[in-house]
Amino acid sequence: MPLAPTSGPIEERPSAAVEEFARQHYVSSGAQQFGIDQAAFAAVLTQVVLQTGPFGDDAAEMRFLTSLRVDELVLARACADGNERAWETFLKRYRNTLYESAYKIARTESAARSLADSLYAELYGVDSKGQQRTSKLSYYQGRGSLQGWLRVVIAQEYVNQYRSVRRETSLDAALQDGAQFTAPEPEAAVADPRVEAAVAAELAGLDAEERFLLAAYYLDHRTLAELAKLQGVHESTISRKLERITAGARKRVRKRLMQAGMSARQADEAMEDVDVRDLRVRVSETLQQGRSKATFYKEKGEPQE
Amino acid sequence: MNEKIPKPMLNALAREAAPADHPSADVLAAFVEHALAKGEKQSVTDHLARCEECREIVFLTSDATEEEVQEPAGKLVAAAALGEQDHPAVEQAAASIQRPFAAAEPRWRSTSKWVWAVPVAAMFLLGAGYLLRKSYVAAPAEREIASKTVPEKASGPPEQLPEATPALPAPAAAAPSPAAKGRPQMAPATTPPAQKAPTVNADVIAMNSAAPAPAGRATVHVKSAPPQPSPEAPVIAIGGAVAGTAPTAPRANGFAPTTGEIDRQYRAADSLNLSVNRALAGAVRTAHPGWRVTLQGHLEHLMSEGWSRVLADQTSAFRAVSVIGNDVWAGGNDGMLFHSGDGGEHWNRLSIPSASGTETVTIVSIRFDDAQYGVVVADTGASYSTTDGGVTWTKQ
Repeated sequence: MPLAPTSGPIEERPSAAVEEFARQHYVSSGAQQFGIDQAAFAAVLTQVVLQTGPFGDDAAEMRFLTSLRVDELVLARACADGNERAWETFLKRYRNTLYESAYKIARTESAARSLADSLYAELYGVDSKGQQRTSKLSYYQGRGSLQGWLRVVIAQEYVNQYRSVRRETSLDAALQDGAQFTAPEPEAAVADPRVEAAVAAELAGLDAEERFLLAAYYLDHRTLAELAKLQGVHESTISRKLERITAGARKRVRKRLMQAGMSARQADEAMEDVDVRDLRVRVSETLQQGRSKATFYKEKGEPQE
Repeated sequence: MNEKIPKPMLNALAREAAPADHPSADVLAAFVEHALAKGEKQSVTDHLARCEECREIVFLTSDATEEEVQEPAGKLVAAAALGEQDHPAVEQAAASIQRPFAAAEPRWRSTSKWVWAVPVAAMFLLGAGYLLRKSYVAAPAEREIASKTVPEKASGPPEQLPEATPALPAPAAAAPSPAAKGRPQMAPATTPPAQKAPTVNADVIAMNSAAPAPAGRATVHVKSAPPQPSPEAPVIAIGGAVAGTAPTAPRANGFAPTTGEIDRQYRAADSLNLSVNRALAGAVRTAHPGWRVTLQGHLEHLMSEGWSRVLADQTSAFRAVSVIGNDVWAGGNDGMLFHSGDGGEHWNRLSIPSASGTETVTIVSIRFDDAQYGVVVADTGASYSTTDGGVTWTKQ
């Protein structure tokens, strides 16, 4: 996944809000001990503001600046610039949590250590020749905590590694995993344009959070607990939201289909039986049930054994 | 829930193209920590709805975030331990704990941290209720004098009246409550002599005699004799049952009563007992089927023609009676203690020896488990046991 770099030449002069904020928070940010003077501090803030803005007025810009984790931003930039004291501080504070977060994400000791070590090298930012420092910490903008940012970077790295490993899975491994290499699925029947229109209209009517919940729950199969933790609410709240979204969506799609000329039965079938793979499963289940019935139940009039 | 989502809609959702530009790690971290402004949060959520990869990253990050709130404090401690007390970042870290944008812990988790307080509060209330009940048992006379104004109706000198009499035999008294099991069996033992208030009147005493079942007093009583028909017994039982059940009656919502409610229930029970005792014209102090001690301190036996006074020549007031078959023990003021082995036909006066001769304490409770073994309790709290039918006594 590409990361938007925030470092680079700064041409812009600090705004009035940035200058005022830098004057107020320079001492408390701890920038001085890492050899960053107030002008450089203001330059760092300007860079972050330019990456995020523009803001309407100075007050909005000041609110944004106040929300930044300035001390962690200064530490990250000092590390990226190669300040030894900053590195010592960073390692003291984040080395353990770096490995702990890697373990929580990778779940295995070896994978976690590999993940954390590779990230550590990227954070230190020494290239293959050992000449140019391009630390990943220079991307940190102070929007969230530095620790949270490290977790996200570890998770990105983990996903990237997983994708690359998955692409390189050998045929033998695939066979061991139970791949059947069956014949390709027959092309699904061309969807009814009325269904597509109704579904598209319904999706367009949902807000971002509702679509996110549907995608995470139904497509990614995330649990209610995971969704609740991410959103900072109780599981029952997520459950109620999903219940409301799905019930409302079904009702509205059905109504649109009927308005488009379908009967109620056709609308119900269109909402249920589009995926032909499900049809196949149902046939299989039906066959299984029929066999079970024949095995364990005797029809009336059959001779008893 | 999965069956309700229209499948074409699910397929369309899956087919939605992921946008090319992804949010930076910084923004995703701020999203997980709920540190984004509303508009930016919505745009990130919109991206997440369409980008499976970013959803995966966000959930991985969220899963790895477990001690989010403790981390700033942990960093603070670590920095302080490393000698960085003067580091401005330490102060910043402390301030960040208060920063609204750093409040990454879900609300339900912060609420659940206080779940432990519920059982603790329940335990506290139960303990307070227990202590309250205990205090009611320990100082009934004082409580009534302080809380009630009861007209004097009792006849006889107040000094002859007991401060605390054994509870009336009632079904509730036969089975002591679990709360009373661990206490001394004799409630008068917990009553200090200083509580001998001369202003205590008969009604108050009678009411206290029917004090709540949890009182140790309720278990002091002699064993129930074989049931015999007694016209007063149902009335007495009603009074005892009220006293035994009212203070511990559960609330309508099923929760344990609060201390205030317990207090109110006690007062209500006391008022009811007062009414019951006033209704008892004979003013019975303590009784067994066929035997009773009136509030005037008379020992009475139920005969075919009605209640008949026994040992009427005694000037001291009786306080307690115990019946085991044909063996009857009756005791009262001035160390008076009598035993009859033939159902009250003939009586023998027993004496409890003391260092100075014979005990002159007021016997407030008698309990015999059989004809030989029994325990007598005095108002001083002392108890005397015998294993030979009252020939010899041992002070405990």
